Amino acid sequence: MKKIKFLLIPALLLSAMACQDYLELEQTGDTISEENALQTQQDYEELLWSCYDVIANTYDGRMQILFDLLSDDLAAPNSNADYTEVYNRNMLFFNSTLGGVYGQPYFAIFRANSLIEALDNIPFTDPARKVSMEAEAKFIRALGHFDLVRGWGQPYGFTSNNSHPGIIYKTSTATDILARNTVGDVYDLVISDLEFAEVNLPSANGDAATLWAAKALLAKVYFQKGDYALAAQYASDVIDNGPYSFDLNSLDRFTAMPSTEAIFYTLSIDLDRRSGPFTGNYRSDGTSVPTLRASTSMYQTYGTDTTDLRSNWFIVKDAGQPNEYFGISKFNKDYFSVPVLHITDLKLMRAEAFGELGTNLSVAIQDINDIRERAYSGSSMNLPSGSSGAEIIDAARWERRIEMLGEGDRVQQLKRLGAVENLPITIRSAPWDCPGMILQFPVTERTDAFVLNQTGGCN
Amino acid sequence: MKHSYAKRFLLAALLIPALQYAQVITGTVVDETQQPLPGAAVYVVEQQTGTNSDMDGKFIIPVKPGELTVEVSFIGYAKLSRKVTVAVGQTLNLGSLSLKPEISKLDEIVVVGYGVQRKREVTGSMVKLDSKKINDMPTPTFEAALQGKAAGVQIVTGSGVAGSGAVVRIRGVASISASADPLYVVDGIPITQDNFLQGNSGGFNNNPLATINPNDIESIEILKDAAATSIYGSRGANGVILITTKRGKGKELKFNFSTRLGTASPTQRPQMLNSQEWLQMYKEAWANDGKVGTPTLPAGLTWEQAEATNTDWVDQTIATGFKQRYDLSAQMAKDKYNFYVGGSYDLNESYLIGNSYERLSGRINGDYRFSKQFEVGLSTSLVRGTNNRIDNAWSGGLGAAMSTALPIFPVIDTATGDYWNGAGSGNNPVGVRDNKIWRNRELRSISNMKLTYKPFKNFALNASGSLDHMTLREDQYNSEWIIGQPNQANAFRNQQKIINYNLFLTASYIQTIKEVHNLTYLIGAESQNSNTYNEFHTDDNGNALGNGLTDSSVTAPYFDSDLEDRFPINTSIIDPQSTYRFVSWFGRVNYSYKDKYLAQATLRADGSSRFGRNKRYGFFPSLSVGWIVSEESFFTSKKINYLKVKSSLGYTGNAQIPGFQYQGGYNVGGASYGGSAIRFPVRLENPNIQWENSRVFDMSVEAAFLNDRITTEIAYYNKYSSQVFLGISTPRNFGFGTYWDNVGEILNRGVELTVKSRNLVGDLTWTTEFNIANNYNELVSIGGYSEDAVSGGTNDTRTVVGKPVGTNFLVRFSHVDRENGRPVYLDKDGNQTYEWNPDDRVAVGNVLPDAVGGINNTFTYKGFDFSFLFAFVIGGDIYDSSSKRQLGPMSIDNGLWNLTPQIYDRWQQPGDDARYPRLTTETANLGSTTPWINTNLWLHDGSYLRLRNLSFGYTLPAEKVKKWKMDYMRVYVVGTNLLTFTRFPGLDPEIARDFENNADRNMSVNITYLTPPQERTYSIGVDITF
Repeated sequence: MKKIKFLLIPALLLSAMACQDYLELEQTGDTISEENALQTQQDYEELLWSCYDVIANTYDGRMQILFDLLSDDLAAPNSNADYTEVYNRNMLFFNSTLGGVYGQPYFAIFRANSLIEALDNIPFTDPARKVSMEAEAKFIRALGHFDLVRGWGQPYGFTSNNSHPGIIYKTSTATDILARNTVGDVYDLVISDLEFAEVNLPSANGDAATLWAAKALLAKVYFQKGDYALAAQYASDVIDNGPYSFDLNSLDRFTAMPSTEAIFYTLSIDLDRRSGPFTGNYRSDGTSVPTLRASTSMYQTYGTDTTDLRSNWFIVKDAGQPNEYFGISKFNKDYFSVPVLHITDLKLMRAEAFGELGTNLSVAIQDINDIRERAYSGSSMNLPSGSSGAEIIDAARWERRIEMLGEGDRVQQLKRLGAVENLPITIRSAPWDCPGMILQFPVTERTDAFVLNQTGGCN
Repeated sequence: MKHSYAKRFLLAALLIPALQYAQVITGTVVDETQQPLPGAAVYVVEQQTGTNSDMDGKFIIPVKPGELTVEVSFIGYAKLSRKVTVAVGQTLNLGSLSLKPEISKLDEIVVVGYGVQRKREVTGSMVKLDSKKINDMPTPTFEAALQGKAAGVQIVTGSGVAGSGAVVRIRGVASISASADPLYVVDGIPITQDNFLQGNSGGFNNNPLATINPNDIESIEILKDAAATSIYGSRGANGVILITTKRGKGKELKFNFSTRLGTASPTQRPQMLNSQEWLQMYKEAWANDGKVGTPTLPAGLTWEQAEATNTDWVDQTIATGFKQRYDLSAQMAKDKYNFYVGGSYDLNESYLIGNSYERLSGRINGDYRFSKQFEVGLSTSLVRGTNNRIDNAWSGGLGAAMSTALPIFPVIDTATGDYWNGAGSGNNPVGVRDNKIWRNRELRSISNMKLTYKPFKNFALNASGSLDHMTLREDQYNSEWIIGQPNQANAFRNQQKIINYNLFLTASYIQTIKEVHNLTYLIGAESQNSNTYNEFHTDDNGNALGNGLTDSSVTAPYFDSDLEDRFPINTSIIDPQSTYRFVSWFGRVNYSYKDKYLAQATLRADGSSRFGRNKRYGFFPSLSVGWIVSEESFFTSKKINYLKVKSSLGYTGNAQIPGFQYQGGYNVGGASYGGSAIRFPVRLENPNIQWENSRVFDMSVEAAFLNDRITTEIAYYNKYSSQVFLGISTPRNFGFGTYWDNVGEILNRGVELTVKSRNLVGDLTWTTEFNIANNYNELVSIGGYSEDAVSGGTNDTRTVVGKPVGTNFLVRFSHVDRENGRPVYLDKDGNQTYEWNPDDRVAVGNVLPDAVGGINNTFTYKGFDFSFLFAFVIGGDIYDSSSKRQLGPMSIDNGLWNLTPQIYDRWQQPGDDARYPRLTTETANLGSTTPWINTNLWLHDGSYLRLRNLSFGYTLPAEKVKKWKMDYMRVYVVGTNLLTFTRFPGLDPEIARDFENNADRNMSVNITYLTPPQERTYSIGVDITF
């Protein structure tokens, strides 16, 4: 049996290699391990900043366009099968454009959640940064989920208790297979995240989210819910107390440097031209027919009154020809910063909210008139003082449609009117709540727990 | 009586042999290639005397005069029996007695993991194929030659492209996103076998097996069950293919020369419409849609111009290919040493014009014995494989001829005299071919050095070190005609280097207890390290020329211009995800009792760099038993001369995933937003990611009847794989892209039957070899994800729980509406609808066959041999993904395709009962705004029977070739893929298209998308030994 000892020789020889180090390889190059990537506070700042990078790739027109395709502002898209499906309200779950946009907010949300989960381990050189970092992450989370639920779920108010399916509200990085949260739950979570952000964000924060951004978004959320008192309260807070100014002299908020009206915005520079989807789809100053053009009704409503400076946002091409179309000039530039939350939106929101509430009507009238004086270069079209709440509401809705052209707002307002105000809204001859009026999820979303939206169903 | 006879015999044999016998019989025992066989037993039946042949195969045996029977036998060869009459005093020279390899190979030695065993003692399930079976027909690479020859081994030969790889599946598919290819081990090293080193370029996956010279191979052992494969632990789950290269044989220095010359053509020539026919169809589509006037043609062509042109692009892209192969080798085996030296040149042109694979290879194998204790062995090869590439399938070439290169497009622009470029260069495959130079070159050396030390009897220590070094270089040059800009030609190079080495040590000991208990112990340890480097040329500023160089200075590819010197390779980046290491320990104990009862236990422990600390080590045990029933005294059957029952149970694994999935990854590549740096996760960590684990049960019966005239083996297996890797296209709400997780479960179970029958023996021999294997495959679970969670890029198959891996998940086509010619689909519930909605997809078929097999018949008469092999596939579906366009809408917006003549069975007017819908220019008329939709209208039965190989040879009589100073000479003709019987209406029912990744490769065999059909070859050849 001494011979058995020989059997141990190879085992001993190779045991030398068996140390963990031999099997512990390091990632090299552009992609490294999380452990190596996230060490200093600066590393985490760069992770947080990457969320804004994603937001810039979401609000570069892509999200806005999807919403506008569901509205009555645009004509049928030119040569874009994916957009045509959205416009036809008959979206297949293989629609890669749609799936791509849907996925964007979740990239930012995943990173925000990574950061929130890591907070206790970050070696902060500035301890106060911990809570503001968390607040930024929560703002990012709320913004993403809010637009997702508005796009992929029926609106708030569609069911009386808002128990209809919304989207998954992700609060962790776990890869659990989850069911869709109800729309009511999503709104509650959005508000809860924004309320944390509102009190913990700084008032100035470079190009990142501020407490004003959180308040402005809260205003939008409440407005969409039909909670006009809170919507007006938050809008007023930002308009009256925030460092932003309504630009009386310029209708153009899509400028290379962020507009003074912009409360939260994305950055675009000549080198990266993040606003590409806007310009790529709308630009009407070239030789080719743009993908996206104004609908005839939109043009006829807003494009023919030349005393309104905003009529210049329409360009009639091939007039009188069978192939006549109405180009939109608003985005005829190389690149620009995109205002995601801005004062014009808040003023119109506040005016309509006060109109609904029947309070502070003079403030509401002034908001409308600020908008109108800018559009008509004077007070010719101003609302008279003493206008009724209903008149204010009508004016606010009229102005909102044209002011927010191309910003993805129109369809959300129509849905609010249908769901919250119970108005008999139809959009391009289909009811506001027909199944095809919400966007379809990509097929990969489907799991045992996740039910996709119905395909089609608006005709 | 018996006793006294023996006594007398002993006396006679021992005391006075030379005096008693004045007569002798002499002769030389040789093998089938006329190589002398030393040590063969020569026996004279009537007088029960025998001897062994000497080192030169010669023997001399004294006999009594009279009628005698001489029997010559040798392990692994059929016994030869000769009746002779010996006169008094005669010296009878029987000349050379050629033994043929024995059909019943029970005593043959087979290669198993880290050793060899006698076949009869093997308790695992395996198949051995010798050199002859690998070299009996020309195939793109050696593995394709295995088709139909081994039960349970499905081989789907790659397309007709030169050097394309086959998809090899042993007992079904047990993986989804990880590679389901078997592990290839050459002379002890698991070789680099990744098909996706260069992804999918030009409709082609690089095939790393193409660099292996089939003529270097002595034998291939295919290990199938856990008893055989679990010694390879974490890499054995998909079976193991052991390749052993040749070693020197024969006492004398012998040379072998063989050559084969042949032709290649497609098994079926693609039929496309000509210009007149196509224009007529286009006009009809136009009219059907109520459009008036002259239909709009692409590239600004007028109707008259179109009518005046009629290009047969298929003719322009295919031609007869020529094949040539020359092998020269020398070998010898002395007591102290042996060697085998071989050189080979193989030029294999496919029928695709401009496409060939050229292999130049050399090998030196040798062993040297320093003493009885110490031996060293060396095996080394150096191969240069050159693939002269062309575009194919979706990328162009014949693929363009079958799709977007319309017959109305001319080859030459008469105005300029240059190639016509009116519809983009891609639609002129002839122009592309002449303006593009594209070459893949592999330099590969697989080498092994083995030291054996036997300090005492029955004990051996082995140390083995191997290196598989591969450089893979893709060079492409595109002229300015292709780029479409004057003075802008492009040259790029894509180069990888893979250095893969392993080292293992084993100790083995054979123990015999009381002469009846035989035990063999083996223990060992192994480490492997494989590094992949991406190599770049850099420009003057030190930046990598990733996309190559595009400017006026480019006149040719790197390999024949000065670019190589101007921009040297000086960036070599290790690809961390492709780099891996293994550390392993293993052991095996074999036990046999009286050669009757057999048992084997194996255990392997593997540690891999691909997994995190939580799951770094895996343990893979197996246990197997065997019982040779025919050795029992109670077993008295006359008809059954051998009966063995064996069974095994064990665990094997699969670890073929990219590295660092356990660790996650952050991009820190310097991306920025608004001028400030960002870093972000690209991959979530999964610290619990671990091996795929297959539990494999196997039970089989081997039997031989009528004195080995018929041998059979029937096996049942049940392989349950869990923790199957899914490279999940994660739900987007996860917030990152693909994610690897162990969530699948797959069942494979089946029955295999092998029968070999020597129907006729004697001068005329007839041998039939038949095998058939059925496999049931079911995806048991994918952890709650949807059918679409795993998508292999271009594949049109899905993962559907309860169905096989690779299920055709399609909207059902019902019929063509007789009144309006529109296609009618079925929704999920079976209601008819004009609307095509992917939500109505159901599992309508699957790409995996129910059974595969082959039947081979061999006849020999004197020197003549004749054999033919039929391979067959029963069941399984083919999805002809190109036909949705070749028979689909004619939409100028979405790209016009040429059509196949099947379009004549289309709806034309109300009342027509047609197979295909009306022609239309608007995809919406077919029920969807999506231009090309998948339905089961394009799904076909994939069964086929194919005359895979037919050969006829003649071995010249030994006496005759002796005069020419040769030992052996055989001339032959061989044809492959000569006949195919199938109901598939497309080109060729054997389909392995270009794949995007392993999931695609696992799920999408039998999906064709302009895939070039297999080749049919005719060859003549000669083998000479001198």
